[in-house]
Amino acid sequence: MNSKLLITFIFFASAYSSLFSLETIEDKFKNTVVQVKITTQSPNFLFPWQPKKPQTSGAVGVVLANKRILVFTSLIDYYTSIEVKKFSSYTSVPATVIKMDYESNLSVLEVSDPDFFKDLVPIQFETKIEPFKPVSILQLDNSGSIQNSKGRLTGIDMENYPMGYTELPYLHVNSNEKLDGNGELILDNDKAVGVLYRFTASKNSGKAIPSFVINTFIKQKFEKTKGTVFPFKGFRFRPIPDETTKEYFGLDKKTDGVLVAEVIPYSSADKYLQLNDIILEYGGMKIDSQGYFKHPVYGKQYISFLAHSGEEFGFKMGSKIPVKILRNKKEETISIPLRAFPYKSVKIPYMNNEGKEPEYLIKGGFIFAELSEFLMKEFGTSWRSRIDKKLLYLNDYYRMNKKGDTGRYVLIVQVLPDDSNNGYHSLSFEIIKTINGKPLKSIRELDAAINEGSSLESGEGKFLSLQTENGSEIVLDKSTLKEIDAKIQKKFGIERLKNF
Amino acid sequence: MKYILTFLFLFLPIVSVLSEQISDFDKVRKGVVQIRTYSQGLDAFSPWLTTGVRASGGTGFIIDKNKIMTNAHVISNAKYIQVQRYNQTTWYEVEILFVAHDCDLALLKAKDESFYEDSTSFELGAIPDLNSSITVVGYPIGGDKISVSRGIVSRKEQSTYAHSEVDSHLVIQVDAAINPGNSGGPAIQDNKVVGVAFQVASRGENIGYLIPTTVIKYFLKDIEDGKYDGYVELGVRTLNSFNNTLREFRKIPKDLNGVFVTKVLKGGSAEGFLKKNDLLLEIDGLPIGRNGTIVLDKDARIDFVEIVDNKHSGEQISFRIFRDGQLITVNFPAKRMDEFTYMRHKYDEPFDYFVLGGLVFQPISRDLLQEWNKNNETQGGSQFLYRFFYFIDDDLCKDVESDVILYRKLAHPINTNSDYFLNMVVESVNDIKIQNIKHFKEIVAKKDYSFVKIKFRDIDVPLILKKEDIEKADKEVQTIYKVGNK
Repeated sequence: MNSKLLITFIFFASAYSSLFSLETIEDKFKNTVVQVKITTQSPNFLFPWQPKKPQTSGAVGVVLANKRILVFTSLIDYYTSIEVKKFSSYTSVPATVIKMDYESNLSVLEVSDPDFFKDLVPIQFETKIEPFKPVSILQLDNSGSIQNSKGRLTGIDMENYPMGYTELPYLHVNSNEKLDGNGELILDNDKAVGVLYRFTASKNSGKAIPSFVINTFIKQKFEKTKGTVFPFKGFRFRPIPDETTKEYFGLDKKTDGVLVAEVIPYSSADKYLQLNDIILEYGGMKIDSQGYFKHPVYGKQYISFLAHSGEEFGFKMGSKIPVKILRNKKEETISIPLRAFPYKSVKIPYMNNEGKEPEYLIKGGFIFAELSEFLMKEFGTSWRSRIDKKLLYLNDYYRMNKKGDTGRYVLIVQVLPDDSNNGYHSLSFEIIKTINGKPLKSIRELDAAINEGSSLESGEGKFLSLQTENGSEIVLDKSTLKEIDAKIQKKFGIERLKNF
Repeated sequence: MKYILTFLFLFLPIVSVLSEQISDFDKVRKGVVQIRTYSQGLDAFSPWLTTGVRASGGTGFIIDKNKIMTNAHVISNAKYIQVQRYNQTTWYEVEILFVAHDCDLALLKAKDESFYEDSTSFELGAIPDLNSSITVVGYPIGGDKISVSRGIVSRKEQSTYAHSEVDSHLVIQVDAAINPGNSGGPAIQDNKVVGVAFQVASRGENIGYLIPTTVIKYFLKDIEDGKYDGYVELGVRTLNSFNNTLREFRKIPKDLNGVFVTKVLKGGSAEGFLKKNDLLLEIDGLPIGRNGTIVLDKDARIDFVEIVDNKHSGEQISFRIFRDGQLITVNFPAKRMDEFTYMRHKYDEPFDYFVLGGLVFQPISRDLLQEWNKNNETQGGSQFLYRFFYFIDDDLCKDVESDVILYRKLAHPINTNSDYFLNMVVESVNDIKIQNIKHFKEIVAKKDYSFVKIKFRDIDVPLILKKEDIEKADKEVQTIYKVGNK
């Protein structure tokens, strides 16, 4: 009984408080956010010759200076149409994308209609955030009207945003209200401190991109649609948490540092850092045994903060960051130029596919594609337990290329049955190890090998031998492929047998 | 294979009974035995603990006057076993003579000869024909008394035996409602045993399986020398020879059928005798089809490995093969393949484990994998899973005898920072490659070092422990968790 009364009381109290604040906040900010309607058509990694069903979703767009609108990349990836609508209007107008950044999950739209921005007010994002404060969260309901929800900032941490390989700082946001994480604007006393990109209703908590990250992003010139202004440190580290490990690596008890556990090829750290280097200082900051430095405002933050979002300390794309290391038990200070995450070092794409359709090739009824986590995820939410354990293992341990390698795994996704490929009809998710005895590293390489000498009618040269990981051999007869491909294309109604 | 669960069957009596059959049945029931087992298993996840004592029931039948045949799974992990026959009033204790976990059979003997008074001893028959009827007798759930049921032989094929979850032998599929408790009971045709009821399909109705007499006879012959050795393995992977392009590329004459060898496994009978890309044409004179089957009897074509399956260790296997444009004959002895042992469920023996500073290590095993799955740890276990399922096929077994995994920790200050290494396979200790858990224990026990550096596979950063800390922690862990190294 008592608890019921208490709940009712709290409910009323919060309803009242939001009623009071709603009017002021709503009035002040109704012209700084717009409703964005996005239609996307994602590629089908399993049946790559046809897209998935188009889907439409709504998002909150934030009005920027110079007649631009900020939205999340994750919401517009593979878009076919983007429309925006403002508070004062009932009509939607089309928008075009001028920037898509996968690392920061931030994208910028432009609207060609010059009148659209007439009564809109661009927002200014704060340079500093107080990370433990009550906030207002502005969202748009289905009708497009502004709702103000209460929330609280509870800290700053680092993680990979939904599509990025580069970890960036995020704000912890708690709220008891229903939020979507699709671009809600977060205000601390009328000052914009972040944009909400994730919300878990069951935990009453969400994550927001902090204003200082957004500022770094919107400061750029938006010359190219793709690309990022956020550098990537280029290595992974392990803590040296205990005295035993310190002693083993020749570190005295009072000195803290972390161990370089992996250096990503072609990255900032490539050629500068080595495995088993111990990082003592990074960007002039002392690094503790867990990999944290002490940020003057946000407290303990990971090393990555300095490299990925270190503008306030003078570190940005292209600038050099000083690193004090212990190598072979000797201290050294090196200077590492900061560069973006090297996409060519990814062997199995897992965060984003750079907005590209997955490349596929259908030859002799065999559907060839390159392995990606997106392909594996076509198995549904329990994909990890349904997928072949070898592919899962490769994805967990070998999704980055080793130094000097830039390949991908090419696999047969499935076989479109025909008399010519009899004996292989049940083959699926089988990696091609070699082609004519040589390691196969990309689907384009496979295509080139098939095309090479395709006019040969007889002799050894007309054959192409593929060895799969399980030891089977598949032989394609180049002289007959044209005919078979035409038959298969017609039978299965496939518009294009390859998409590159 | 996962759909098949080990249970026992029961057929419902639906047949009009002739007087002759009545007297036949009176003989039958005198040879069928009810088995009561009290078992105590081990928990693979906490191998220093045992599960509670569990009572379960099954069926058996008398052969060779005073021996009782049943399923291995009826008496697995048993601490005490009793038997009773139709109209007997007391239970009799039995001893286990032989157990064959790879074909789910066991042979028992009552300690008191009076158990066998006025009993029937069964003879073994041949493999029954498709569509012929059989009678299954046993003691399934639903009552204490003997139960009889009848069914029809619906299929013969090779299938996985759920007891080990690895071994695959011939099975006879029958259509019958099946219930737990029938396990080990005889299937009878013309007064002879033609199969042992042993498992059911968990998907689909009325699909029950019998162990055929070929497998029973194999078991009985194997134990003639006083111990059970187990089945042999050919140890090859094959690909059908349907594809015309592949045939043309490999210059295979049109009239040749058979299957291609795609992989020769380490430790199998074929190692050193068959080669990748060999086309296997005949086995022991029987032609192999392009789909890999041979004619066993008039009822069904069956996978050619059935011929190897029926051989005992040392017996010759003869292949007619096409290799490098030549027709040749290759003969080699059948042998067991110990490499597969780790994949089988383990019974009757303790799990080997090793505790080091509260970190618990074990050899990779099916039981551990199963327990690990129960704990729902699907994240990050891919190395363990991959190495378990591909250990032989990807030749990982050429590098190491048996994988050792750090699968859990008993919390202690020494291992506070070790979570990163959980579910990883050990590669080396102090730069010495680890071959198995015994080797691991030996290396760690050496006195001439102050640190233990454990490197795990696929990650570069090692786990470092200090010898003196380990010694102290081991004592504390032993006291707190009641766990010691055996």
